[in-house]
Amino acid sequence: MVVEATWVCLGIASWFAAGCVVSHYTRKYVGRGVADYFIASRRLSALPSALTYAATTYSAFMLVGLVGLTYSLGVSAHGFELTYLIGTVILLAYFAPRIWIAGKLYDCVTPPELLSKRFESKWVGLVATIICAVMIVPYSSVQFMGIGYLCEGLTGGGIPFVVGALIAMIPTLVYAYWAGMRSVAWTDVLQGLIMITTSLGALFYVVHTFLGGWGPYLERLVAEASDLLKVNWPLLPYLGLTIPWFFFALSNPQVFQRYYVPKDVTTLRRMIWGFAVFGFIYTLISTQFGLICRLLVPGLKVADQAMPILLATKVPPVVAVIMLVGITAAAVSTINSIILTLSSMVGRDVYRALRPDASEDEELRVGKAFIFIFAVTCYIFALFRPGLIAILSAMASGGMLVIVPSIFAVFFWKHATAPAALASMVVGVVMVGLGYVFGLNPLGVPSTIWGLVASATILYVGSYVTKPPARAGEFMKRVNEELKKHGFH
Amino acid sequence: MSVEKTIGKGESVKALWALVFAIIIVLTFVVPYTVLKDVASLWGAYTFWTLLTAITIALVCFLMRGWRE
Repeated sequence: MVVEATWVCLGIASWFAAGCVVSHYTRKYVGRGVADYFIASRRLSALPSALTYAATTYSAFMLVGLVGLTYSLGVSAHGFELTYLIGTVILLAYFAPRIWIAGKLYDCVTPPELLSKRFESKWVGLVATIICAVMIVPYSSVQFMGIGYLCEGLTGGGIPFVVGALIAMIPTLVYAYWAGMRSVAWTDVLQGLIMITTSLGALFYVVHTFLGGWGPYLERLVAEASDLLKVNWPLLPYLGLTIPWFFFALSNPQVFQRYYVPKDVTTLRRMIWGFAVFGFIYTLISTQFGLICRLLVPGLKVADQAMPILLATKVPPVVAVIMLVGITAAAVSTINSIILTLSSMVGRDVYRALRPDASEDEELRVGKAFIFIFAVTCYIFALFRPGLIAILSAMASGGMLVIVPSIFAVFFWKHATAPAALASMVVGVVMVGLGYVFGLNPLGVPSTIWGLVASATILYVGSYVTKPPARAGEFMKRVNEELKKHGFH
Repeated sequence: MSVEKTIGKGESVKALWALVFAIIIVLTFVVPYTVLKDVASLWGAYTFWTLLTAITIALVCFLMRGWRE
């Protein structure tokens, strides 16, 4: 069964129009300056804070890559994604308040800016920005790839891959550029609601229509695919993917920047539990689809095609189009946040760092220009269609993982120094890069883990042989005083 | 209660929370890869990971109750 390209275009156009209305509405609240455009002047309420965090985190990977991973590896993929969620929720409890406080105290707009101010070196922020920009392009591109694959598969080539990816890029650009963080956050509310309702509705529909309800489905699962219910993923590769994702909440700048935006403590708390509940439900839905695909479309050679083939061959066109809209919403809500954050980093941590006398208006212009540059770069990268989607996404987190030891040091170790932080990030990312390029996994341990160990070790040892920043103690004292005042742990 | 005792109690509570979270992190890797590895049922690793995540979310929500403006 092939879905008419016209129906797909109509579905996507309706969704895009709704997003444009939301985006246009938020534009009237945009004020002046970089902080207003990129972090909404730290004035977001609970609903957009929670749903922009959730929709930014959860991308097309969930209903394409994770479904494929579950299809081939079974419940281990469920464990992988939930271990990520456990790690994120715990990290949020400790780091979100610290970053929120430090952001306000030191007027930070971007994640690397916090590093620069704590280490009293613009080079730390600049290097962190370059690492993020280089590593996150593959991660961003897989979102466009996911939509390209889906559109092509669903319409039997009626919408080619190149056009499908373009369909994702245009709303990404519009939502990010129109009103910055406000536009992205409020369209993320729309995207988040679409993601959860369409996927949940489709799950119940598929289970009841094709599998005879939950009871018969579970019986059939045990009878026909019991191997999927065992822990099949070998431990070391599992750790190699899971550990980078465990620290996603700190290593990925697009989620890090969202700790700056809640307007008060209550909002911060609601953002965390709202995201956690959303993530829990969305993960359960996604991995269930992986198991269901194994029963309904068995024997696929490319696991990432499981969801596209399920939609193209089993469900009615109207359900397929609704699901496609939900997955496109997931992709766009992630990538527009990434592009907005990266653009703010180029303006603040590269342009402003190298030209301290530049005006705020100039910085804003540079940031806005890079929204276009990053969107087009990600799109071009997507056209090369590299490898398995899950592996690419994990490589991005693995590469940015080398920044995490420095982030820990910002809040927990006043002796950490700028030269040591710089060396730890550079050596770590080179090790991860070499590991991926040459396929090196010494002692069977993935290069991402070696990169993390190396960067932590270099930061620790290097800080003992170099001089700590003059005001590091004061930084931690001010943050800790605020932590106590608000009852944070 | 003296100021020192109050501060000491606060630090102990923080350490206890950190210990609880550390145990959860260890369990999420160890249990499925040992005792539940070959259990071919949804009541095995699948349910374990699901319940552990729900418990972690509930604990973090409980922890955040003490946050104030």
